[in-house]
Amino acid sequence: MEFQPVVMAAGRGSRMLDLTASNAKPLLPIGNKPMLWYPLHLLEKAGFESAIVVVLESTRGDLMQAINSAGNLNISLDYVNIPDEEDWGTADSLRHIAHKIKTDVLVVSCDLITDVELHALADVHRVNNSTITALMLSPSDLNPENQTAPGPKTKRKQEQKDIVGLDEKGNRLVMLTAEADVEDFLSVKTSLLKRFPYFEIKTNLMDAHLYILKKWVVDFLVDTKAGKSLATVKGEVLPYFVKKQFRRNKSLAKTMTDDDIDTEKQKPQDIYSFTKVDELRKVIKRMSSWRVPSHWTDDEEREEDQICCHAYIWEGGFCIRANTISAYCEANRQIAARNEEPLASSVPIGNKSQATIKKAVYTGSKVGQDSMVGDGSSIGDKVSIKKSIIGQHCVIRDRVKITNSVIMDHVTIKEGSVIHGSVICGNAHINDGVELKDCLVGYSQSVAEKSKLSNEVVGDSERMMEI
Amino acid sequence: MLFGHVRNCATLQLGEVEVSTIMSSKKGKGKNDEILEQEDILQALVITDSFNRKFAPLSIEKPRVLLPLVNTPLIDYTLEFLISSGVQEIFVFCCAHAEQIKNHINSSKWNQSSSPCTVTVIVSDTCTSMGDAIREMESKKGVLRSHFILVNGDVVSNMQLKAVVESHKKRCQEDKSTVMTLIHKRAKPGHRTRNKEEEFLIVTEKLGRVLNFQKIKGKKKLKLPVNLFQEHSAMTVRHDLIDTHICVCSPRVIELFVDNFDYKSKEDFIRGILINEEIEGNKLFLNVIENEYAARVSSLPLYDSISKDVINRWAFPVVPENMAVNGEGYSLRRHNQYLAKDVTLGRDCILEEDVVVGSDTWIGDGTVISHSVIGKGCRIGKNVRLENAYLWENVTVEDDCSVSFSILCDSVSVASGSTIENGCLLSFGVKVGPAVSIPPGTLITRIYQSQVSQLSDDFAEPETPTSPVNDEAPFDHSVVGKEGEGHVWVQSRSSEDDEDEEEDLTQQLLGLNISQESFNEDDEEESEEDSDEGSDLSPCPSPPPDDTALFYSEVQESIQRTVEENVKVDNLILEINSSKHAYNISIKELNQLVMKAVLELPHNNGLLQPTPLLQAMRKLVKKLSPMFQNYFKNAESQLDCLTVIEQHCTTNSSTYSILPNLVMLLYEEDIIAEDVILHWFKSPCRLDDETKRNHEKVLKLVTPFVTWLQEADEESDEED
Repeated sequence: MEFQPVVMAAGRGSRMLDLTASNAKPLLPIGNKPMLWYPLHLLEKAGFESAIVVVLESTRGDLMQAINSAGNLNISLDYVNIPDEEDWGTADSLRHIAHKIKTDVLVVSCDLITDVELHALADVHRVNNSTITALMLSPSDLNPENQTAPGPKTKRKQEQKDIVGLDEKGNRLVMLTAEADVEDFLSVKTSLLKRFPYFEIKTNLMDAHLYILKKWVVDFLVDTKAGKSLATVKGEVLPYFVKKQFRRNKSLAKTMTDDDIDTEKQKPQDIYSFTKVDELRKVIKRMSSWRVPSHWTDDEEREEDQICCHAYIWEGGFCIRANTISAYCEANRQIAARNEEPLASSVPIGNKSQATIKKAVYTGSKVGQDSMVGDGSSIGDKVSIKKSIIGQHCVIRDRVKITNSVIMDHVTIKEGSVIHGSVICGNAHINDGVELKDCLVGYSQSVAEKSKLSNEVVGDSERMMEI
Repeated sequence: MLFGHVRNCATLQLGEVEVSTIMSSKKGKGKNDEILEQEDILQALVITDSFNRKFAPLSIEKPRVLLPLVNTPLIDYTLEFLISSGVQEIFVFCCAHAEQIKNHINSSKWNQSSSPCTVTVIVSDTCTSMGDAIREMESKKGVLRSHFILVNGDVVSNMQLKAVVESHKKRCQEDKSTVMTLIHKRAKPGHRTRNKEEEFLIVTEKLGRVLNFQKIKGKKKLKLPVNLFQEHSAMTVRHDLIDTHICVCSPRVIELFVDNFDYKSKEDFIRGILINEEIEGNKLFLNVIENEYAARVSSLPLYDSISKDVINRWAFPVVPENMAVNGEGYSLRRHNQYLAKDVTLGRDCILEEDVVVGSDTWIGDGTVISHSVIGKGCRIGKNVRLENAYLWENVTVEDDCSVSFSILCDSVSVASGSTIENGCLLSFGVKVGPAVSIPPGTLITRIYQSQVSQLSDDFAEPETPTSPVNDEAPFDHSVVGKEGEGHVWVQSRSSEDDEDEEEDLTQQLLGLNISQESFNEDDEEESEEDSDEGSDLSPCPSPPPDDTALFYSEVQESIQRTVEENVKVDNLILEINSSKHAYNISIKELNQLVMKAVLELPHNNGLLQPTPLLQAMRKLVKKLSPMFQNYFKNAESQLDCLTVIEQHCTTNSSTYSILPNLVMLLYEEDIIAEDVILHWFKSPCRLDDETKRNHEKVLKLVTPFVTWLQEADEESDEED
């Protein structure tokens, strides 16, 4: 096995608390499947036979059940619990499962919904003998930033942008900083310029939170003090390694001993004690006429970089990170719209056809091509459903209009309601003649007759406060 | 003929039409535009003066543009390049040595009736910078009517400008705020044609619009403002370019230079445009050439690299046999050997590779020549070894001599048994030998140095006798030998240069950067240091002369006011600059006095104790940081700054006790570069005993900091 996939499904969905208040983030339905199903499906499609899934202890049972019932997955899953009370980052989770890691790891977040070809990413990793390879997305019109989100209109915080520097070939990561970390000036080293006299800086790339890490990166995270201090892959590990790329071995040893005085006794460790130069690569180096250009370093011992970070820039494909409410809605819309495309074709929805059959039954009702209706739902007369997803066992009465919305399971919508751009969570009850625009209705909530709401959250506010 | 141009009979007529359009311009603008567009004569402005002294002492007698590169005057390359690109009207702007340039052009083929373009010489004595020259053009109304090409007179290129000009015009039509298209050539770091003094970083957006431009000047880190990343989602950072010093300008460039009379060089202009971008909205674009050749002979090492590029035919069709003056012609042999007519080669004489030999030259038996250019009418004796040597016309090298990495100007003679080592310059008519060895980096002229005032490269003093015979000053026989004739020219860093003079004025010598790749920064600083010795580094005269005292008090007042009334630091800089001009203070003195004023300021109301002083200094330095950045740009001025602090320590105990913190503060604020501190720390004290003791005491104090600095050098990379 070349790579061991690890799915990080222990996130709390802190950017979409209104939705995750009573439903774990990996369980949120997208196209009537739990969110976690999508990365697993992606792995299975790429040929993986097993995967480690990191979950919060409390959600494990629900998740296993949900994944089993979503079906169509043959990949064998190894669930690893993470204690609920700890607030662990992804790197912490990696440390937790380090004993299970035998080869290079592929880390993927549970909120990634994409049809990327993973082998292309793996190729970048292999060809460059990369230490860390990240998947990044070139912006497309699917950008969820432009969409309005249900819930109160807040001046939405600009999604954090990264400043990414890429070399001439476009996949070596030369620079990586969060824009928020840059105060007035971003400083660029002259030595970096000498090494990479031409590079591109992009601020519009989206990190898909899918990485391939060398095995020794995990060892480094476990064994060294510097490694232990890193909590998340995206926020800390990757920038740390990007920075380390151009350091010289010698000087590194020096700095490491400086901050590791106390651990020194156990093992003198610096990042380079983890890098191993492949015997084969040594031979290649010896036999090739290529040498490190003199302007790269002034040092006498000129060697190839032992640490190198790459990115695979994926353009124009379908990819969403459902980590905010608006991205979540967008993901639903996209899945619905694509349900005849490759991603969804293997999804045994079976509801699409069902809906089309039903269309004939329910007089005057229309379900658009870009919508999905779950099993066992019933739809009344003169209903119109556009760009929306209806969960299972929902009851939708006559003359209801639903556009651009996500309706989860067991929702009842009474006659004459108009629902636009909203998310309605499970077991909710919408009474007659309600008009909702860009609203969010929480679990088991009911909305009173003829209420007209826009940009509001209907939910158990107390419970939300707890979280 | 190299570029077969057929004279266009319409040129003259077009000229007439233009006059009439200019006259009619008041009547109907729209109509006028139409006509102008129809005409489309491509014009070029060639600035022949470099306004620096990189080629001193050669340029005292002959302007740089007339110096021969592979036996052809530099300006011929520039003119040929312009004409082959289809330029129809060239204005050659001369300041120093204008007569010589004028004569050269008048007698050249471009002045003959077969010339496809008109070359007009414009002379001005008063200009002291490129900016002045362009402003001067404003007064000559209607000369430059449309988009024009701005180029220095020492550029060698084979590029075709048409496409670049077209795209420039198109951009201008789409967006009126386009003012200039810079032309850069791609060459990765380490390339020989890169100018080591001109390393820069340029940030462009997708379509080539320039967003940021910074010179590196030995800095370890460059800062990119954060708003770049907020405003642009994709940009390119480039350090793999060399400035060709060719650019396409829209007519507004002249207006902008006139409006901003403080713009001296193109660099000032670029910086000004980028800074005022938000207000004025003017845009610069970058055009990168990949396969064509373009480079400017802006220093001696580049003279060497570009000569070799021409010999190695990188700039084809700009190659020796095509460029030869008056159809002299060379026959090209294997290994890039170019021999002109009537060359006599002795028996057993070996021409290795990359050798150009001019006509009527005689080379003796057993002589070995490689990578060299030899002009016409030279006499080279037996068993001579020439390696990377540039011999101009009528040079005599007698038997058993050896010359490497050196330039021997017209009529130089080297008597037998002499050795000329790397980096020497023997100016016109110098004689050396017999049997002397000229140490590396020696400059020798017939003109006694004190006769020439310290003006820029191509500035000839009218009073300077052109025939350098002077009996008062005897020749330096210890250097040039018994029968030698010549004076050693000491390179001086002219201190009265304007504060805006960006360029590091140390002359780079030939050969020193070729033997090893990048001569590293320490070396560079050391050589700067050497030239400082003996100049005014001596401790500040305690009662400064009147003007200086007045200046000092004004600076003090200005700084105090700035701090107290919270005035913008830019205004402070302006004030200091104007005081400088009023009292005729050199930039070096200015640096020292400004630093002194800052150090004294906290003590105005009595001597402060160390702790409050440190706080006060911290505030002060933070506030005045832009001013420091403005004045302490290069290593030398920063070193001055440290020296002033050191001196201040001897008189002020509080300053003495906060010295390490102060130095650290300056370092943190990026005012003083790490290298400079290290250098200062290492530099031995060359003064009397007392100062020496002081120096040692001071150094001891900062030792922990410097040690930290050396270690942090590596570490800092981790932290940020």
